[in-house]
Amino acid sequence: MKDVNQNPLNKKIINSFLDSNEFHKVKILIFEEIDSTNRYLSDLEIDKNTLYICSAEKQIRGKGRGNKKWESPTGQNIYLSLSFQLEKNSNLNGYSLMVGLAIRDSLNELYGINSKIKWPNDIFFENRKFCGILIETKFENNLRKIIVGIGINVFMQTNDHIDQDWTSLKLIDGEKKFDRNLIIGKLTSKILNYSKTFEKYGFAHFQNAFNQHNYLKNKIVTSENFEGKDCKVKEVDAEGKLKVEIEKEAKLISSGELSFKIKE
Amino acid sequence: MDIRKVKKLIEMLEDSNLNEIEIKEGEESVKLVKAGSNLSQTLVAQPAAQPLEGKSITKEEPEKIEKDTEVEETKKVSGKEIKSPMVGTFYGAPNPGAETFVKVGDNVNEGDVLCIIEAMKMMNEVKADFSGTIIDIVPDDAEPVEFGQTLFILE
Repeated sequence: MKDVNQNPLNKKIINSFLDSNEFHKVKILIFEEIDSTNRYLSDLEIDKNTLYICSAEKQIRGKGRGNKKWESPTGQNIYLSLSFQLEKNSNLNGYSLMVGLAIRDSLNELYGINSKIKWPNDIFFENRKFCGILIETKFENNLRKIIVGIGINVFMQTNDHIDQDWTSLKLIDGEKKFDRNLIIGKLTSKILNYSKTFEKYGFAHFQNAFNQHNYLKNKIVTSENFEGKDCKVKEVDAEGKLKVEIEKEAKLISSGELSFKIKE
Repeated sequence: MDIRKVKKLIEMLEDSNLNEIEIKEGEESVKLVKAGSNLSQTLVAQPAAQPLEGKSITKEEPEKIEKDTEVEETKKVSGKEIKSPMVGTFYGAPNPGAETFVKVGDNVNEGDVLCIIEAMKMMNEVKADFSGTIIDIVPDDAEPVEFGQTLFILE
């Protein structure tokens, strides 16, 4: 289903929407078709102080977590990866939550879409996911290279291959004229802006904002990590860990393969 | 005997009401005695008649050591360690079910990817800081690891 307002991805237009930022150089790479934008930037040797923005109309092997595939049909959605370098010893606890918050806030500012973040960083609108984030880091030449992969369903209205409740910006608000170039420019700027604050103050600076939009807050969930016992979700702490209560006992979750089932 | 097995045994012993465990596997045997038990404060690893192959907790140690079990274990580690740069979950392969980055016996070069530590959906590659042969991979796949915990032992 093609949307009439669906403009092709365009380097110059994306560039025009970037806020002037502190990176000396920005390289924008647009592909008609690619295996995975994350894979491309992961393998690319990047220059210091350069921001790399890679996007494609279609991904053949869009990556989700683990073996999961990210559905990436031609022209319908945003498949975006950003890469840049950070100091080797940067404390990145909670960084992935901050990225989710940056995307949520961008879409709220641009289109008034008030979405929620499911810890650590899936973005939901009314119990349906429309954005996933996958972050990779690696050490190179004494710096830490980070690759932020973002998939946002934009115009997609049908897809038989997704095995969970999903939505798209178009399904959320059929009246709005969504522009992928604008979204990419603005949310990239937002992520960089938040990253600078993050490098100074850490996740603690974003903790309250995250908790305001914390999708799981006060929900009862079960997780294989806790043998299917009921967990009551509280908030995230200053490092982005999720506080839960299991049989009256407080626990902090920071990692692991978590698949929450929401019981409500 | 695999050092991880010994580690598991130590954990089992600590959690149990037993004062000692003795395990025999073919030529090898290990006897663990709980520290503070009224039997004796020793950890005894008894070499069998034949020399053990590869790494073993008995290799360079006398038969009896008056130490508690945990100190004992770290002391027996030979070779250079690669430690976890962060708290997270250890993954030996790029994807579930995929071939692991490295296995025991592999020769690795400085800069080779050894594993991924995942935390809050950030996948962090851990590379070898130096070249060598992998003699042990300490955590099991998908096991939580602490900052500074030994992941690999190379020699």
